Amino acid sequence: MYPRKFEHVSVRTVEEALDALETYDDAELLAGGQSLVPLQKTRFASPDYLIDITDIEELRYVEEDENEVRIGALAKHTDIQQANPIQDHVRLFSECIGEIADWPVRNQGTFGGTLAEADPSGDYLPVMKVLNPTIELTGPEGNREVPFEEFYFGMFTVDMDDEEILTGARLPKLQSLVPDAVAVGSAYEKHAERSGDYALVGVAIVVGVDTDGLVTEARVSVGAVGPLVRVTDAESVVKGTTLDEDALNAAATAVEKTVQPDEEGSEGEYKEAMAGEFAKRALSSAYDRATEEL
Amino acid sequence: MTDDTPTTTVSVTINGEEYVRETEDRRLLVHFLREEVGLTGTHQGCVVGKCGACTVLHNGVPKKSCMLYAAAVDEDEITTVEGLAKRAEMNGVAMKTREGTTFHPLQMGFKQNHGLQCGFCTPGFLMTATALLRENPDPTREEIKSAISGNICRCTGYTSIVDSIEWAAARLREDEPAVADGGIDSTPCEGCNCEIADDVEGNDE
Repeated sequence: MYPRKFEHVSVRTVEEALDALETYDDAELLAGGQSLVPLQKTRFASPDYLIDITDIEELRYVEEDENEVRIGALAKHTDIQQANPIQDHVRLFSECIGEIADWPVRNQGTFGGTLAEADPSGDYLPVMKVLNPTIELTGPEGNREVPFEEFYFGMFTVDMDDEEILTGARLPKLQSLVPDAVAVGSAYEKHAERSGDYALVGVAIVVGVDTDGLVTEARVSVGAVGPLVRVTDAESVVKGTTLDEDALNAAATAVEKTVQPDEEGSEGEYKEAMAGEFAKRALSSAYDRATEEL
Repeated sequence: MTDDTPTTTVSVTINGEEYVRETEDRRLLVHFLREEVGLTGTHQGCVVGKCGACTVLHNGVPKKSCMLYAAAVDEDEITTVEGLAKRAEMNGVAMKTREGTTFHPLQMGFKQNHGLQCGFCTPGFLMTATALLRENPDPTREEIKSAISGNICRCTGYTSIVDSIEWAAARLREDEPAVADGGIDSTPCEGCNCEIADDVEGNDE
Protein backbone atom coordinates (compact mmCIF):
# COMPACT_ATOMS: atom_id res chain seq x y z
CA MET A 1 0.00 0.00 0.00
CA TYR A 2 1.90 3.00 -1.28
CA PRO A 3 0.86 6.57 -1.94
CA ARG A 4 1.18 7.88 -5.46
CA LYS A 5 4.46 9.71 -6.05
CA PHE A 6 4.60 13.19 -4.62
CA GLU A 7 7.23 15.73 -3.76
CA HIS A 8 7.81 16.46 -0.07
CA VAL A 9 8.28 20.18 0.57
CA SER A 10 9.48 20.99 4.06
CA VAL A 11 8.73 24.44 5.52
CA ARG A 12 9.62 25.93 8.89
CA THR A 13 7.56 29.14 9.07
CA VAL A 14 4.04 30.26 8.21
CA GLU A 15 5.48 32.60 5.61
CA GLU A 16 7.36 29.78 3.88
CA ALA A 17 4.19 27.70 3.91
CA LEU A 18 2.17 30.46 2.26
CA ASP A 19 4.88 30.91 -0.37
CA ALA A 20 4.89 27.17 -1.04
CA LEU A 21 1.09 27.11 -1.41
CA GLU A 22 1.38 29.86 -3.99
CA THR A 23 4.25 28.17 -5.83
CA TYR A 24 3.00 24.61 -6.06
CA ASP A 25 -0.20 23.57 -7.77
CA ASP A 26 -2.07 20.54 -6.52
CA ALA A 27 -0.53 20.70 -3.08
CA GLU A 28 -1.84 19.48 0.27
CA LEU A 29 -0.70 20.58 3.69
CA LEU A 30 0.73 17.81 5.84
CA ALA A 31 0.08 18.76 9.48
CA GLY A 32 0.27 15.54 11.52
CA GLY A 33 -0.69 13.24 8.66
CA GLN A 34 -2.72 10.81 10.76
CA SER A 35 -5.65 11.15 8.34
CA LEU A 36 -3.87 12.37 5.22
CA VAL A 37 -1.25 9.59 5.08
CA PRO A 38 -3.89 6.82 5.14
CA LEU A 39 -5.94 8.75 2.57
CA GLN A 40 -2.89 8.90 0.32
CA LYS A 41 -2.23 5.20 0.74
CA THR A 42 -5.79 4.38 -0.24
CA ARG A 43 -5.48 6.95 -3.08
CA PHE A 44 -8.40 9.04 -1.90
CA ALA A 45 -5.85 11.85 -1.88
CA SER A 46 -3.05 12.00 -4.43
CA PRO A 47 -1.54 15.47 -4.38
CA ASP A 48 1.56 16.22 -6.47
CA TYR A 49 3.10 18.13 -3.59
CA LEU A 50 2.96 17.69 0.15
CA ILE A 51 3.81 20.85 2.04
CA ASP A 52 5.04 19.58 5.38
CA ILE A 53 4.12 22.16 8.02
CA THR A 54 4.58 19.77 10.96
CA ASP A 55 7.73 21.52 12.18
CA ILE A 56 6.39 25.08 12.27
CA GLU A 57 7.13 25.53 15.97
CA GLU A 58 5.47 28.95 16.16
CA LEU A 59 2.09 27.23 15.70
CA ARG A 60 2.55 24.72 18.51
CA TYR A 61 1.12 26.26 21.68
CA VAL A 62 -1.75 26.07 24.17
CA GLU A 63 -2.12 29.34 26.08
CA GLU A 64 -4.61 30.94 28.40
CA ASP A 65 -6.18 34.40 28.20
CA GLU A 66 -8.80 35.83 30.52
CA ASN A 67 -11.84 34.24 28.88
CA GLU A 68 -10.28 32.06 26.21
CA VAL A 69 -7.78 29.31 25.61
CA ARG A 70 -5.70 29.82 22.48
CA ILE A 71 -4.52 26.73 20.63
CA GLY A 72 -2.02 26.72 17.79
CA ALA A 73 -2.87 24.68 14.72
CA LEU A 74 0.16 22.45 15.14
CA ALA A 75 -0.40 21.59 18.78
CA LYS A 76 -0.57 17.80 18.97
CA HIS A 77 -3.68 16.21 20.48
CA THR A 78 -1.59 15.05 23.43
CA ASP A 79 -0.27 18.60 24.04
CA ILE A 80 -3.84 19.87 24.29
CA GLN A 81 -5.14 17.00 26.40
CA GLN A 82 -2.43 17.54 29.02
CA ALA A 83 -2.52 21.35 29.03
CA ASN A 84 -3.73 22.85 32.30
CA PRO A 85 -5.86 25.60 30.71
CA ILE A 86 -7.82 22.90 28.85
CA GLN A 87 -8.18 20.59 31.86
CA ASP A 88 -9.23 23.50 34.07
CA HIS A 89 -11.50 25.44 31.74
CA VAL A 90 -12.54 23.28 28.77
CA ARG A 91 -12.70 19.87 30.40
CA LEU A 92 -14.87 18.20 27.78
CA PHE A 93 -12.24 18.87 25.13
CA SER A 94 -9.60 17.05 27.13
CA GLU A 95 -12.06 14.20 27.58
CA CYS A 96 -12.86 14.20 23.86
CA ILE A 97 -9.19 13.99 22.90
CA GLY A 98 -8.76 10.95 25.15
CA GLU A 99 -11.25 9.19 22.86
CA ILE A 100 -9.40 9.89 19.61
CA ALA A 101 -7.83 6.77 18.05
CA ASP A 102 -4.95 5.79 20.35
CA TRP A 103 -1.92 7.25 22.08
CA PRO A 104 0.62 7.06 19.21
CA VAL A 105 -1.88 8.68 16.84
CA ARG A 106 -2.67 11.42 19.37
CA ASN A 107 1.06 12.09 19.69
CA GLN A 108 1.27 13.01 16.00
CA GLY A 109 -2.22 14.21 15.02
CA THR A 110 -2.74 17.97 15.20
CA PHE A 111 -5.46 20.39 16.20
CA GLY A 112 -5.44 22.32 12.92
CA GLY A 113 -5.32 19.23 10.75
CA THR A 114 -8.35 17.78 12.50
CA LEU A 115 -10.35 21.01 12.28
CA ALA A 116 -9.54 21.49 8.61
CA GLU A 117 -10.39 17.89 7.74
CA ALA A 118 -13.78 18.09 9.52
CA ASP A 119 -14.42 14.36 9.50
CA PRO A 120 -18.08 13.92 10.50
CA SER A 121 -17.26 10.80 12.56
CA GLY A 122 -14.33 12.43 14.30
CA ASP A 123 -14.51 13.39 17.95
CA TYR A 124 -13.80 17.11 17.59
CA LEU A 125 -16.93 18.30 15.83
CA PRO A 126 -19.60 18.02 18.57
CA VAL A 127 -17.23 19.74 21.00
CA MET A 128 -16.57 22.55 18.53
CA LYS A 129 -20.29 22.86 17.96
CA VAL A 130 -21.01 23.62 21.65
CA LEU A 131 -17.95 25.85 22.07
CA ASN A 132 -18.16 27.75 18.77
CA PRO A 133 -14.49 28.81 18.90
CA THR A 134 -13.02 31.54 16.74
CA ILE A 135 -10.98 29.98 13.95
CA GLU A 136 -7.87 31.85 12.84
CA LEU A 137 -6.65 31.63 9.25
CA THR A 138 -3.97 33.31 7.24
CA GLY A 139 -3.54 33.61 3.49
CA PRO A 140 -2.10 35.78 0.75
CA GLU A 141 -4.63 38.48 1.66
CA GLY A 142 -3.66 38.49 5.34
CA ASN A 143 -5.27 37.17 8.50
CA ARG A 144 -8.91 36.28 8.89
CA GLU A 145 -11.07 35.10 11.79
CA VAL A 146 -14.29 33.19 11.50
CA PRO A 147 -16.56 31.61 14.13
CA PHE A 148 -16.73 27.81 13.91
CA GLU A 149 -20.45 28.05 13.07
CA GLU A 150 -19.53 29.78 9.81
CA PHE A 151 -16.26 27.92 9.26
CA TYR A 152 -17.89 24.48 9.20
CA PHE A 153 -20.09 24.00 6.12
CA GLY A 154 -20.68 20.27 6.47
CA MET A 155 -18.77 17.02 6.44
CA PHE A 156 -15.22 17.38 5.07
CA THR A 157 -16.08 20.92 3.97
CA VAL A 158 -14.88 24.10 5.65
CA ASP A 159 -14.45 27.77 4.82
CA MET A 160 -10.80 27.62 3.88
CA ASP A 161 -9.15 28.66 0.65
CA ASP A 162 -6.61 26.55 -1.24
CA GLU A 163 -3.94 29.12 -0.48
CA GLU A 164 -4.87 29.59 3.15
CA ILE A 165 -3.52 28.02 6.33
CA LEU A 166 -5.44 27.46 9.53
CA THR A 167 -3.14 28.89 12.20
CA GLY A 168 -5.13 28.32 15.37
CA ALA A 169 -8.34 28.90 17.29
CA ARG A 170 -9.55 30.59 20.43
CA LEU A 171 -11.78 28.42 22.60
CA PRO A 172 -14.08 30.11 25.11
CA LYS A 173 -13.64 29.02 28.72
CA LEU A 174 -16.77 27.14 29.69
CA GLN A 175 -17.77 29.63 32.37
CA SER A 176 -18.07 32.35 29.72
CA LEU A 177 -20.60 30.23 27.80
CA VAL A 178 -23.01 30.17 30.77
CA PRO A 179 -22.51 33.61 32.35
CA ASP A 180 -25.55 33.35 34.67
CA ALA A 181 -24.40 30.09 36.27
CA VAL A 182 -22.49 29.82 39.54
CA ALA A 183 -20.92 26.53 38.47
CA VAL A 184 -20.34 24.81 35.16
CA GLY A 185 -19.82 21.19 34.15
CA SER A 186 -19.10 19.55 30.83
CA ALA A 187 -18.78 16.12 29.31
CA TYR A 188 -18.03 14.32 26.06
CA GLU A 189 -19.47 10.82 25.64
CA LYS A 190 -18.66 8.61 22.71
CA HIS A 191 -20.20 5.40 21.53
CA ALA A 192 -17.95 3.21 19.38
CA GLU A 193 -17.67 -0.51 18.82
CA ARG A 194 -14.04 -0.70 19.89
CA SER A 195 -11.68 1.64 21.69
CA GLY A 196 -10.15 4.00 19.15
CA ASP A 197 -12.78 3.53 16.46
CA TYR A 198 -14.54 6.42 14.83
CA ALA A 199 -17.63 7.48 16.74
CA LEU A 200 -21.03 5.94 16.06
CA VAL A 201 -22.34 8.70 18.30
CA GLY A 202 -20.49 11.61 19.92
CA VAL A 203 -22.25 13.89 22.39
CA ALA A 204 -20.86 17.13 23.84
CA ILE A 205 -22.53 18.84 26.78
CA VAL A 206 -22.03 22.03 28.78
CA VAL A 207 -24.30 22.60 31.78
CA GLY A 208 -24.46 25.66 34.04
CA VAL A 209 -26.23 25.53 37.43
CA ASP A 210 -27.35 28.06 40.03
CA THR A 211 -26.84 27.84 43.81
CA ASP A 212 -29.88 25.55 44.17
CA GLY A 213 -28.53 23.15 41.59
CA LEU A 214 -31.06 24.18 38.95
CA VAL A 215 -29.85 24.22 35.36
CA THR A 216 -29.54 27.82 34.17
CA GLU A 217 -28.38 26.94 30.68
CA ALA A 218 -27.29 23.87 28.77
CA ARG A 219 -25.61 23.25 25.45
CA VAL A 220 -26.12 19.92 23.74
CA SER A 221 -24.64 18.78 20.46
CA VAL A 222 -24.53 15.45 18.70
CA GLY A 223 -22.06 14.35 16.04
CA ALA A 224 -21.61 11.29 13.82
CA VAL A 225 -25.36 10.72 13.50
CA GLY A 226 -26.17 12.44 10.23
CA PRO A 227 -25.45 16.17 10.13
CA LEU A 228 -23.74 17.74 13.15
CA VAL A 229 -26.48 19.35 15.30
CA ARG A 230 -27.12 21.51 18.34
CA VAL A 231 -30.21 20.06 20.03
CA THR A 232 -31.92 23.23 21.23
CA ASP A 233 -35.08 21.34 22.23
CA ALA A 234 -33.05 19.26 24.65
CA GLU A 235 -31.37 22.40 25.95
CA SER A 236 -34.70 24.03 26.74
CA VAL A 237 -36.32 20.99 28.41
CA VAL A 238 -33.51 20.66 30.95
CA LYS A 239 -33.46 24.35 31.82
CA GLY A 240 -34.74 25.04 35.35
CA THR A 241 -34.61 21.35 36.35
CA THR A 242 -32.25 19.40 38.59
CA LEU A 243 -31.79 16.97 35.70
CA ASP A 244 -33.95 14.33 37.33
CA GLU A 245 -35.08 11.20 35.50
CA ASP A 246 -37.96 13.04 33.78
CA ALA A 247 -35.75 15.84 32.51
CA LEU A 248 -33.16 13.36 31.25
CA ASN A 249 -35.79 11.32 29.44
CA ALA A 250 -37.28 14.43 27.87
CA ALA A 251 -33.84 15.50 26.69
CA ALA A 252 -33.17 12.05 25.24
CA THR A 253 -36.47 12.15 23.36
CA ALA A 254 -35.60 15.57 21.95
CA VAL A 255 -32.22 14.26 20.81
CA GLU A 256 -33.75 11.20 19.15
CA LYS A 257 -36.23 13.41 17.28
CA THR A 258 -33.60 15.88 16.15
CA VAL A 259 -30.83 13.66 14.81
CA GLN A 260 -31.13 12.47 11.23
CA PRO A 261 -28.99 9.37 10.75
CA ASP A 262 -27.73 8.69 7.24
CA GLU A 263 -28.53 5.01 7.66
CA GLU A 264 -32.03 3.69 7.08
CA GLY A 265 -33.96 1.02 8.92
CA SER A 266 -32.73 -0.67 12.06
CA GLU A 267 -29.22 0.77 11.78
CA GLY A 268 -30.57 4.31 11.77
CA GLU A 269 -32.97 3.51 14.61
CA TYR A 270 -30.09 2.11 16.61
CA LYS A 271 -28.02 5.26 16.14
CA GLU A 272 -31.00 7.41 17.11
CA ALA A 273 -31.53 5.41 20.28
CA MET A 274 -27.82 5.54 21.13
CA ALA A 275 -27.74 9.29 20.55
CA GLY A 276 -30.50 9.62 23.16
CA GLU A 277 -28.83 7.24 25.58
CA PHE A 278 -25.40 8.83 25.35
CA ALA A 279 -26.90 12.31 25.62
CA LYS A 280 -28.44 11.19 28.92
CA ARG A 281 -25.13 9.86 30.19
CA ALA A 282 -23.25 12.97 29.13
CA LEU A 283 -25.86 15.27 30.66
CA SER A 284 -25.68 13.38 33.95
CA SER A 285 -21.87 13.55 34.13
CA ALA A 286 -21.81 17.22 33.18
CA TYR A 287 -24.48 18.00 35.78
CA ASP A 288 -22.67 16.03 38.50
CA ARG A 289 -19.44 17.84 37.74
CA ALA A 290 -21.23 21.20 37.90
CA THR A 291 -22.94 20.48 41.23
CA GLU A 292 -19.72 19.11 42.74
CA GLU A 293 -18.40 22.63 42.48
CA LEU A 294 -21.30 24.13 44.44
CA MET B 1 4.83 16.58 -12.24
CA THR B 2 7.63 14.94 -14.19
CA ASP B 3 8.41 11.24 -14.35
CA ASP B 4 11.38 11.76 -12.07
CA THR B 5 10.91 10.24 -8.69
CA PRO B 6 11.23 12.93 -6.02
CA THR B 7 13.75 11.99 -3.36
CA THR B 8 15.05 13.54 -0.17
CA THR B 9 18.32 13.02 1.64
CA VAL B 10 17.28 12.00 5.10
CA SER B 11 19.70 12.25 7.98
CA VAL B 12 18.31 10.53 11.04
CA THR B 13 19.70 9.23 14.33
CA ILE B 14 18.46 5.72 14.96
CA ASN B 15 19.29 4.08 18.28
CA GLY B 16 22.11 6.55 18.74
CA GLU B 17 23.70 6.04 15.32
CA GLU B 18 23.41 8.48 12.48
CA TYR B 19 22.18 7.25 9.12
CA VAL B 20 22.09 9.28 5.92
CA ARG B 21 20.07 7.87 3.06
CA GLU B 22 18.58 9.26 -0.08
CA THR B 23 15.03 8.01 -0.14
CA GLU B 24 11.88 8.40 -2.15
CA ASP B 25 9.60 11.14 -0.78
CA ARG B 26 6.69 8.75 -0.54
CA ARG B 27 8.69 6.20 1.48
CA LEU B 28 7.04 5.41 4.80
CA LEU B 29 9.26 5.39 7.87
CA VAL B 30 8.52 1.70 8.50
CA HIS B 31 9.82 0.78 5.04
CA PHE B 32 12.78 3.12 5.41
CA LEU B 33 13.78 1.39 8.64
CA ARG B 34 13.32 -2.12 7.33
CA GLU B 35 14.45 -1.87 3.74
CA GLU B 36 16.95 0.98 3.63
CA VAL B 37 18.54 0.79 7.05
CA GLY B 38 18.07 -2.95 7.50
CA LEU B 39 16.48 -2.74 10.94
CA THR B 40 13.79 -5.36 10.56
CA GLY B 41 12.80 -5.46 14.23
CA THR B 42 10.10 -2.89 13.48
CA HIS B 43 7.32 -4.90 11.95
CA GLN B 44 4.92 -3.95 9.21
CA GLY B 45 1.46 -5.20 10.09
CA CYS B 46 -1.64 -3.54 8.71
CA VAL B 47 0.09 -0.44 7.24
CA VAL B 48 -3.07 1.57 7.89
CA GLY B 49 -2.32 2.71 11.41
CA LYS B 50 -4.56 0.24 13.20
CA CYS B 51 -2.34 -2.53 14.55
CA GLY B 52 0.62 -0.72 16.12
CA ALA B 53 3.21 -3.39 15.17
CA CYS B 54 5.34 -0.65 13.60
CA THR B 55 5.39 1.62 16.66
CA VAL B 56 8.73 3.38 17.23
CA LEU B 57 9.83 6.29 19.38
CA HIS B 58 10.12 9.53 17.42
CA ASN B 59 12.06 12.07 19.48
CA GLY B 60 11.11 9.89 22.46
CA VAL B 61 7.40 9.77 21.72
CA PRO B 62 5.62 6.62 20.50
CA LYS B 63 4.26 6.93 16.97
CA LYS B 64 3.25 4.55 14.23
CA SER B 65 5.98 4.42 11.62
CA CYS B 66 3.51 3.50 8.86
CA MET B 67 1.83 6.86 9.42
CA LEU B 68 4.96 8.96 8.97
CA TYR B 69 7.03 9.63 5.88
CA ALA B 70 10.77 9.09 6.20
CA ALA B 71 11.33 12.52 4.64
CA ALA B 72 9.38 14.03 7.52
CA VAL B 73 11.75 12.73 10.23
CA ASP B 74 14.87 14.33 8.75
CA GLU B 75 17.21 15.46 11.56
CA ASP B 76 15.12 13.65 14.18
CA GLU B 77 15.79 10.78 16.57
CA ILE B 78 14.22 7.37 16.27
CA THR B 79 14.39 4.50 18.74
CA THR B 80 13.43 1.05 17.54
CA VAL B 81 13.21 -2.26 19.36
CA GLU B 82 16.83 -2.96 18.39
CA GLY B 83 17.85 -0.02 20.56
CA LEU B 84 16.01 -1.09 23.70
CA ALA B 85 18.69 -3.24 25.29
CA LYS B 86 21.35 -0.62 24.67
CA ARG B 87 19.12 2.00 26.19
CA ALA B 88 18.63 -0.20 29.26
CA GLU B 89 22.40 -0.65 29.55
CA MET B 90 22.92 3.09 29.39
CA ASN B 91 20.37 3.56 32.15
CA GLY B 92 21.89 0.80 34.24
CA VAL B 93 18.77 -1.34 34.20
CA ALA B 94 19.76 -4.02 31.71
CA MET B 95 19.06 -7.68 32.48
CA LYS B 96 20.72 -10.79 31.12
CA THR B 97 19.16 -14.07 30.16
CA ARG B 98 20.84 -17.33 31.10
CA GLU B 99 22.17 -17.50 27.54
CA GLY B 100 23.82 -14.13 28.03
CA THR B 101 21.51 -11.99 25.92
CA THR B 102 21.11 -8.45 27.20
CA PHE B 103 17.49 -7.40 27.65
CA HIS B 104 15.57 -4.34 28.61
CA PRO B 105 13.41 -5.13 31.69
CA LEU B 106 10.34 -4.93 29.43
CA GLN B 107 11.77 -7.59 27.13
CA MET B 108 12.50 -9.74 30.17
CA GLY B 109 8.99 -9.04 31.40
CA PHE B 110 7.45 -10.30 28.17
CA LYS B 111 9.69 -13.38 28.27
CA GLN B 112 8.98 -14.21 31.89
CA ASN B 113 5.24 -13.55 31.80
CA HIS B 114 4.43 -15.11 28.45
CA GLY B 115 3.64 -11.68 26.99
CA LEU B 116 4.13 -13.06 23.50
CA GLN B 117 3.29 -16.09 21.45
CA CYS B 118 4.05 -15.58 17.76
CA GLY B 119 5.91 -12.36 18.57
CA PHE B 120 4.82 -10.38 15.55
CA CYS B 121 3.20 -7.55 17.51
CA THR B 122 5.79 -7.56 20.31
CA PRO B 123 8.17 -4.83 19.04
CA GLY B 124 5.26 -2.40 18.89
CA PHE B 125 4.06 -3.28 22.39
CA LEU B 126 7.61 -2.94 23.74
CA MET B 127 8.03 0.54 22.27
CA THR B 128 4.67 1.82 23.50
CA ALA B 129 5.32 0.33 26.93
CA THR B 130 8.80 1.86 27.10
CA ALA B 131 7.31 5.31 26.59
CA LEU B 132 4.52 4.60 29.06
CA LEU B 133 6.88 3.59 31.87
CA ARG B 134 9.05 6.61 31.32
CA GLU B 135 6.02 8.88 31.59
CA ASN B 136 4.31 6.93 34.35
CA PRO B 137 6.58 4.56 36.30
CA ASP B 138 3.70 3.11 38.33
CA PRO B 139 0.74 2.70 35.99
CA THR B 140 -2.48 0.97 37.02
CA ARG B 141 -3.68 -1.93 34.89
CA GLU B 142 -6.28 0.42 33.42
CA GLU B 143 -3.62 2.94 32.47
CA ILE B 144 -1.58 0.19 30.84
CA LYS B 145 -4.61 -0.97 28.86
CA SER B 146 -5.33 2.56 27.73
CA ALA B 147 -1.73 3.12 26.63
CA ILE B 148 -1.58 -0.09 24.58
CA SER B 149 -5.04 0.27 23.06
CA GLY B 150 -3.37 1.13 19.73
CA ASN B 151 -1.45 -2.15 19.66
CA ILE B 152 -3.21 -5.28 18.53
CA CYS B 153 -2.21 -8.81 19.53
CA ARG B 154 -4.05 -11.77 18.04
CA CYS B 155 -2.45 -14.45 20.21
CA THR B 156 -2.27 -13.63 23.88
CA GLY B 157 -5.58 -12.11 24.86
CA TYR B 158 -3.62 -9.21 26.39
CA THR B 159 -3.78 -10.30 30.04
CA SER B 160 -0.23 -11.60 29.95
CA ILE B 161 0.92 -8.48 28.11
CA VAL B 162 -0.47 -6.27 30.86
CA ASP B 163 1.19 -8.62 33.40
CA SER B 164 4.49 -8.27 31.54
CA ILE B 165 4.39 -4.49 31.60
CA GLU B 166 3.43 -4.46 35.29
CA TRP B 167 6.29 -6.83 36.03
CA ALA B 168 8.78 -4.59 34.24
CA ALA B 169 7.39 -1.48 35.91
CA ALA B 170 7.87 -3.08 39.33
CA ARG B 171 11.46 -4.08 38.47
CA LEU B 172 12.28 -0.61 37.19
CA ARG B 173 10.81 1.04 40.29
CA GLU B 174 12.69 -1.19 42.71
CA ASP B 175 15.64 -0.58 40.65
CA GLU B 176 17.31 2.58 41.79
CA PRO B 177 18.63 1.52 45.18
CA ALA B 178 17.67 -2.12 45.03
CA VAL B 179 19.40 -3.19 41.87
CA ALA B 180 22.75 -1.77 42.82
CA ASP B 181 22.96 -4.34 45.57
CA GLY B 182 21.56 -7.08 43.44
CA GLY B 183 18.06 -6.55 44.72
CA ILE B 184 16.26 -7.62 41.59
CA ASP B 185 14.44 -10.87 42.04
CA SER B 186 17.24 -13.19 41.07
CA THR B 187 15.39 -16.42 41.64
CA PRO B 188 15.32 -18.34 38.38
CA CYS B 189 11.76 -18.48 37.24
CA GLU B 190 10.04 -21.78 36.71
CA GLY B 191 9.22 -23.20 33.36
CA CYS B 192 11.31 -20.98 31.18
CA ASN B 193 14.96 -21.14 30.53
CA CYS B 194 15.97 -17.77 31.85
CA GLU B 195 17.40 -16.09 34.84
CA ILE B 196 17.61 -12.50 35.82
CA ALA B 197 21.13 -11.28 36.08
CA ASP B 198 22.30 -9.31 39.04
CA ASP B 199 25.32 -8.06 37.18
CA VAL B 200 23.63 -4.88 36.19
CA GLU B 201 25.64 -2.24 34.41
CA GLY B 202 27.11 0.22 36.87
CA ASN B 203 27.55 -2.46 39.50
CA ASP B 204 31.15 -3.47 39.87
CA GLU B 205 30.59 -6.97 41.15
